[in-house]
Amino acid sequence: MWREGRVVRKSDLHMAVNNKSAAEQRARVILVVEDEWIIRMTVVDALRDEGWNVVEAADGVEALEFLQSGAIVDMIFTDVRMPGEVDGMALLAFAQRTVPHVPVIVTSGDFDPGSAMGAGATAFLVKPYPLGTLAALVSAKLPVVR
Amino acid sequence: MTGQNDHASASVLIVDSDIIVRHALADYLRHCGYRVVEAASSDEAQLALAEASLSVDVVLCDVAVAGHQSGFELATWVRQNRPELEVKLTASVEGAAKAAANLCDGGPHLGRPYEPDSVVDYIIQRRATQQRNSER
Repeated sequence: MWREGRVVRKSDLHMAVNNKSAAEQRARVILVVEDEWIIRMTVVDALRDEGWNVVEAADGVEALEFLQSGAIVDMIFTDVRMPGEVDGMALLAFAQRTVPHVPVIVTSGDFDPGSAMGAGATAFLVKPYPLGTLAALVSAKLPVVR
Repeated sequence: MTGQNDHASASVLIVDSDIIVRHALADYLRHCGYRVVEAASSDEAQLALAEASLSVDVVLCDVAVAGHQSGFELATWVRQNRPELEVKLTASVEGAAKAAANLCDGGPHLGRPYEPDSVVDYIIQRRATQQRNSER
């Protein structure tokens, strides 16, 4: 799961603190919302290996706090069923209201994909999914940075 | 610290319930070349430490982290169950940023990417934005 020898990429050296020079130079940021720690670590590791910056949220409330913080997010990848007041569908609704330009990929093993798509999800990924499929989907749905 | 002698595999487990703080610290340490594992609660941290395939050298933990155990209790648990790990407890954003900067001074390879005060400034800025957004 955790690959040895991960190299810090130059594109990583942007985010957070003394950001940003030019928008077109920044690595894109994916917010991963998943309450299962093992799954979250596997997913974020795979996405970081693809060169994206990843922000982790352990539940919907954390994700909502991060979105409200004003930090830049280019995509949200969220589980549906999570503990707490904000599940994935509530997070999707919040994102549509506050950051409608940000694509939201929804994932679940026991939720109707049609309901998620009907609610405005950019895509739905059925659990369990191969990490390669996730990476390809994220790559296809990430908006081009201007 | 184990990581200072084995920089290629040095990794830090950050245990902090505040996603803005956690993300800023994680980003800072990644810039220094560390691999970073994030835990949002003491329960998640215990799960991480129980994962055999995951190597951790240092645990950077907020004393007031959410979960069944406080940061102090988690530190005690780590010392009893994983005595080879170094635990750094922090009680403030400033303390956490300073601890992260000290880790960067010890390797793995990039040194401090920027001054720890910048981490604190970033967190203050994000929290202010968050506060403004929540008041709308």
